[in-house]
Amino acid sequence: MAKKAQASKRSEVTSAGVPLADIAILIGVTVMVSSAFFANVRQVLIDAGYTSMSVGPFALALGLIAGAMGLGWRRKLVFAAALVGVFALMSLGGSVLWFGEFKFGDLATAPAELTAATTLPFLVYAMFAFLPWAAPVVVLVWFLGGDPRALWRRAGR
Amino acid sequence: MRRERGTVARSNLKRDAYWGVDAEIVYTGLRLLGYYSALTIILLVILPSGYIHATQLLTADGSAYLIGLAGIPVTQDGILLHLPSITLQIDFACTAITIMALYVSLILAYRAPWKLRLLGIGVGLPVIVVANLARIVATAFTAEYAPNLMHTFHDYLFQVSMVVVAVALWAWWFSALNRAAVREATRG
Repeated sequence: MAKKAQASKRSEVTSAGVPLADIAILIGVTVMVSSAFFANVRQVLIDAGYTSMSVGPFALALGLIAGAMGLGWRRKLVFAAALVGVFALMSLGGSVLWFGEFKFGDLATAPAELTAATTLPFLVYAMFAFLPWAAPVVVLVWFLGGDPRALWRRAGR
Repeated sequence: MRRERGTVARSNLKRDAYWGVDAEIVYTGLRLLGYYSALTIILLVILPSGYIHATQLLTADGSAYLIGLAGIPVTQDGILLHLPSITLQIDFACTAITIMALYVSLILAYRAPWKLRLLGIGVGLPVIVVANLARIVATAFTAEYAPNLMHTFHDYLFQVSMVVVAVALWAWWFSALNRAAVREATRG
């Protein structure tokens, strides 16, 4: 009996499938919010060596992730906003405003030319260039409670 | 309900919470940042700088071979792939080093036996490499047969696909971690 109840609960948790409508709506919302936000700082990002590539797919992926999460709408939107905010902050941190000496393309070539004087600024720059990819994953880990399977499990809605 | 979907690994979490998130999960995120920062330093400053170019070349070699195998005429000039209608350049970003570093950091961030961590890394990295090569071949196909869609596909769809691959690997590994924890708890 207990086994049957447990199986029933498991089925309730996993059988709802991926919420496609939520994903579609969240992709739309996240892309629009991101586009509107990044339109204002786009030139700064381009000057820093970033291209739309850094922003578009990211917004799309965030929408996908937020839409798939088995959480309520309020938490989904907080999640999407937190990710966009973190990404924007890190992108701007790595921009010409702080470390104008290095640009994104320099990650491949600059290490060969580093001197004692330029190593530290390069390292700080590299952190800001790399962390935009890691920081949102940290936010994702927190929102999913460390369990990536929460993306398609609908429990707790 | 949320507790029920939780696992043995999660049930051992500390009860402390920050902004409603279990302390252990917060620490996992912070460890992820720490490992990723350490890997960034190792990859960009400590390792000989030539390896980045070597990785680009290796990616270009593999891509050129697969593109040729798929029937598109291609000539390789270092990190440049000359297709009939376009030349593709294999940049640092095309090597998937960033996403591999992120995946390894994620695996290391969880409290897990080293055997399981090595399994995750040993399976995950080759899958990411293959997925990345497939992405470049798909980009070549799009460039040749649907050039007007090339930038949309390359800049958006294929990038998101890599994120999806990484998340799928993460979910697979986390499931393996939980199965191991269940076995451990049963034995105990």
